[in-house]
Amino acid sequence: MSRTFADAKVHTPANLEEALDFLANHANEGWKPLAGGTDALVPIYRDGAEPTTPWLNLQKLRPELRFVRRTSNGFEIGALATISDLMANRDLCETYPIVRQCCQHFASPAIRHRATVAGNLANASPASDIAPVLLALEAEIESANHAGRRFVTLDAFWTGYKATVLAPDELIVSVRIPHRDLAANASMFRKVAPRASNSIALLNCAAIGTRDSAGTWTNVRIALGCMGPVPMRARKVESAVEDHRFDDTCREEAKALLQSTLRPITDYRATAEYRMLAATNLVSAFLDRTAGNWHS
Amino acid sequence: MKIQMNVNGQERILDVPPLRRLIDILREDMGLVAAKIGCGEGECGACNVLVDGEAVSACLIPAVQIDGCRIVTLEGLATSNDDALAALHGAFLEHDASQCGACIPGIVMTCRGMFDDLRNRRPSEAEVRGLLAGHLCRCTGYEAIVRGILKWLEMKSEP
Ligand SMILES: Cc1cc2nc3c(=O)[nH]c(=O)nc-3n(C[C@@H](O)[C@@H](O)[C@H](O)COP(=O)(O)OP(=O)(O)OC[C@H]3O[C@@H](n4cnc5c(N)ncnc54)[C@H](O)[C@@H]3O)c2cc1C
Ligand code: FES
Ligand code: FES
Repeated sequence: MSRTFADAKVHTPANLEEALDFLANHANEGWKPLAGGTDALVPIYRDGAEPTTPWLNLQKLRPELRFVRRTSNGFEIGALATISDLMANRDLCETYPIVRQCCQHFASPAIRHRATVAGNLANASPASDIAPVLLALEAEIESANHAGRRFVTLDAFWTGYKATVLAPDELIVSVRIPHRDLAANASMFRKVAPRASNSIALLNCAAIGTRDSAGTWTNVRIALGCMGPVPMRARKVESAVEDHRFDDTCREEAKALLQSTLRPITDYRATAEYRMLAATNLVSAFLDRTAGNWHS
Repeated sequence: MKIQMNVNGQERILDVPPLRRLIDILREDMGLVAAKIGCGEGECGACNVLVDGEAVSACLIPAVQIDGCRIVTLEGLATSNDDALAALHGAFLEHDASQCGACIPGIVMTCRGMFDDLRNRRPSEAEVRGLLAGHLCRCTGYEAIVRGILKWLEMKSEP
């Protein structure tokens, strides 16, 4: 007979308002949101951990929060939208081909049907695949507690390894992609992993920008995963190439900047040296592109 | 907790602990054993079933999240004279896609879940391989399985 988890505590609010009230009234009791469960339940189901965390099951918030839509300011991704929902939104995937690129290399179809974008970001793993894409697109997190809402830019959302700015009574409500890159003519998502799908990245990279016919880059944004405790932008490299051609001087400068700002670790999946070399190569591969539309 | 769900067309009310896994409810509490437990961590797809029409891995889904849902297992397809299943069955037989068969129920459910999306277009072989990303076949019969699915889709796009 399999485990029954007879003592597990789960509460299922009927809507967002009830969820936020519940969190406000049960502060300090350790309640944690449960979305698709593809991160949250793995320690219990796979590793045999005792289910000591009381879970706030968000499933009944789906009618309110499972959406992907275009607004006048950009795209809004509801907190219960799944990776499959991103892929199914043609408008989003055609506007930003790196979203589709990333989703195709994210887990497997069955996991993508459960895994939410918000849960992935809240989980705050340095190996998240969607994080570099949303960083490059300068996404913002909209969160709420019973008293109101606030916005945090994604690069200020993570405070350290597996840590975020969210308070215990706060939920992510949506993730917003501003209309900032509509003119970009180059973008790239790359995941370095043992298999093309369903495996954790050794490192990953998302980049977007505009290159004119003379080869001059503008509005470049580059983000990397697994190169430090949180997914991060390579801001110094972005500034160095802005209004420049990616010539040999620029290439050397970019390489030196990546080496002085990234902090990859060595673990059982890859060495720090390997990660640094691969990250440098990916960034160069993007910036080496010739003019014209180039999304891959 | 009491959960209410529709399993293979029948309304069911069960009294189960909230974190009991869907795969255990199906196999142990309801005797529906077509879905298998392979890895128990979302990697192999042996446990895939349809929840509200989407193929998902039942080893990662807690009871509390299937309350009010419609579940379809391979048993349900088999007893409902599902045409898409019959065609897939035929294509798999023709290509010897099933060896020990342990991975097949999960693969069938993934294919069935994508049916509406796939029926009106001919996905490339690469896309079919992508569909199988979440499935491990220890008999390593992937080539035959891919050929079987491609054959099935060919049959599907005939009028
Ligand atoms: C087999 C397998 C393969 C995978 N492959 C990949 C991969 O290729 N790339 C990748 O990036 N990830 C991968 N993952 C992890 C990925 O599935 C998760 O990161 C997923 O996106 C998390 O979403 P969820 O809805 O399942 O979150 P949950 O597991 O429910 O929650 C994750 C965390 O987020 C918190 N949370 C959830 N929703 C909210 C909210 N609205 N507000 C505040 N906090 C919230 C929870 O409390 C929890 O701490 C894989 C997982 C599995 C099991
Ligand atoms: S048993 Fe569920 S995916 Fe392997
Ligand atoms: S046929 Fe044996 S595991 Fe796939």
